[in-house]
Amino acid sequence: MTGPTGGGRERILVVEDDGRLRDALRLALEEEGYVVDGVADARAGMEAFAEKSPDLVLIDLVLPGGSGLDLCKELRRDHDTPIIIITARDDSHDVVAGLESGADDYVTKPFVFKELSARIRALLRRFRMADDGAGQSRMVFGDLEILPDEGRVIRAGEDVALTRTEFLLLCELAGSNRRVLSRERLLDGVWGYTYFGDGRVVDAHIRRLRKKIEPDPSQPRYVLTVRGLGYKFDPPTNDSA
Amino acid sequence: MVEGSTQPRGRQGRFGLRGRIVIRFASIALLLSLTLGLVTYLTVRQIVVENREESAIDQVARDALLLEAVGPDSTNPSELLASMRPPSRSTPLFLAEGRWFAASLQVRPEDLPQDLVETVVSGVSARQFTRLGPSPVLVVGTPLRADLGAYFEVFRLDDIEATLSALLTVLMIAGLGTTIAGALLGWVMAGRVLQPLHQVAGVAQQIAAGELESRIDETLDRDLLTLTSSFNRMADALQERIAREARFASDVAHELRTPVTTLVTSLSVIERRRDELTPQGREALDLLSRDVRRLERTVADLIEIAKHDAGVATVDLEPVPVATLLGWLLNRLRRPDIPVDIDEPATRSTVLVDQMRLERVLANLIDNAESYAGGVDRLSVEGRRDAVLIAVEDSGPGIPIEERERIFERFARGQDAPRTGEYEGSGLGLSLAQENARLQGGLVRIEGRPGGGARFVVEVPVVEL
Repeated sequence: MTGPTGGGRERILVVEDDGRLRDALRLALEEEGYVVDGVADARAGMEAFAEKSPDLVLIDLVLPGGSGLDLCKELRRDHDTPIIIITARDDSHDVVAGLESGADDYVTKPFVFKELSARIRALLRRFRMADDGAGQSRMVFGDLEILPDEGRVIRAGEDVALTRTEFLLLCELAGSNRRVLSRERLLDGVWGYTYFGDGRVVDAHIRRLRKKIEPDPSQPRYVLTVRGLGYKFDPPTNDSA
Repeated sequence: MVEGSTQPRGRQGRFGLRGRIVIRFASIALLLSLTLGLVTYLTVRQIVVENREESAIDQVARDALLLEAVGPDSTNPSELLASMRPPSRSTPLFLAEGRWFAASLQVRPEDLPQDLVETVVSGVSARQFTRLGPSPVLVVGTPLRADLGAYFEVFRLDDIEATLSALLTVLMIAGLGTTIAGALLGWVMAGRVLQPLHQVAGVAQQIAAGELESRIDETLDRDLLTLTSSFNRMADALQERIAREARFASDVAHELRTPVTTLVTSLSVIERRRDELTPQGREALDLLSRDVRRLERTVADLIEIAKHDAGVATVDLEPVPVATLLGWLLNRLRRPDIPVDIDEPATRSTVLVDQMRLERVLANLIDNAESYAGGVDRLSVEGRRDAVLIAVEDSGPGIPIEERERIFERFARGQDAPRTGEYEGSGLGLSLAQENARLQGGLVRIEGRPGGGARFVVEVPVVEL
């Protein structure tokens, strides 16, 4: 999972049940320079993931039996490989459920390939940068400690398991000096684009982040929502280094 | 068939159901009161008249006896008659030896009915009702003993007549009252009966107005159960059918979703290798790209619109200061080149909007202006008391007033709209813009511009902070 494999080219696993779309995606992604493995269902997806260690996984949530969502959760349990889900455009439940279960980003079907390709590029670039280390010093807010160099977050003495996207989001918020950050700003800073972005991606990740770092996620004390403007990192001010 | 179906309508036309019920009730009341009145009147009359008749016969018998007792020695029958106790309402007459004697001038012998006089003279008592001038009278005659002649008394009955006519008046008034009461009762009853029907009509109107979930409360009235339940079944069937048709469009769009994505994705591969193609190949590719792009937008818009139709489109309203919103919108739309004129009240306003949806509304309107009017002139933003108007202005041909509603219909195009090959819209953009504006409590409407061109005005609600 660390860095591109096989001749420097990044590997993408496509889990898509429609054979023609899978082939089209493979062709188009290969054209962009990726190595592509295509499989038709969730089980084959798990096997291919273990075997090929892709750098990014593209999962169609509209897989038969809704197994796309399960695959997403299962992958996320042990790995933080970037995941992009393909969802039905008319179902915001799907989008939210997919993002909640650990996907980093999503596209809705029908999509324009350029859009998907932009998201893939941004996500891979972000992961490469994260691998290089952010170069920031240690930040402490109350019992929350962020170690950007090590990619670790410690709350009350225990490591918190964050995905890379969640971690970057937290760093972006924590580094903002208590200013309000708009969703666009966060999309730009964390996801690397604003044009294709949708506030829901940010909202879903903020919810996931809160579940992991807030003592009570329904009464957030660290990451506050500012209605109409965005989010603000405003930890309790007992001590900060 | 035709006659059969028009006839009831003709009957309905003259009087409504309520009118018919009122007339029916009033007629029944009138008939009842007439019958009762008539029976009452006749009975009373008979009793009163019989009483008077009996007492008159008694009196005449007594007076005749008295006369017989005194009579033969009397020199002057007139005096005799006068000396007799004059009954309050009767006038005695005495016929002796062909000569009449009367106690009063009020009644002349020739007024008496000739048949009666003859009967009595022939030796039989008799009585007869007749009229004496305007007054009704009862004439009772009895032959006297031996050759004394005949004795008559004329009883005036005008008191009875007055009583009876008073009774008749009272009965008529009562009858009229009953009829009016019957009509009123009919009116009220009809109202009661029609009440549930009004509800049925109300629900039918709601359904016609698009509230397809409206149903009649089946517990409304036991006796109307057939009507209400069959009405509700009809509404169910209608709703199901509409849903099926909507679902069909949505299903088609869903089915096309994957193949369209395949088309777009495969095409992107060829587009990357555009330079390797011959000029003819490139031209064909461009044609293909444009229409595949258009197909993709149509499918995406159809899916979006199906979501609105199914009522599952979610809206995420947030208060946003107008100035912030505009900056965000222009940035999102990637159109910093469009000039914006914002008035002072608008800069101070905060609106309650779903930013993503508002962006889509404006994107659709800008697309529209670019497809049909040669581009957007400016965005004008005006603050009103309870709304902010964001207008996309162009200097195209404008939209005729009669088309300003129709143009929001799905796949509708303006009559003068150029059907150029450049057009890449789905034909659903304006409908979607309207749906998206409505979802956030706003609307899109079209105005003309003084110098020509059109203004597509998006109205969004202001929120008080």
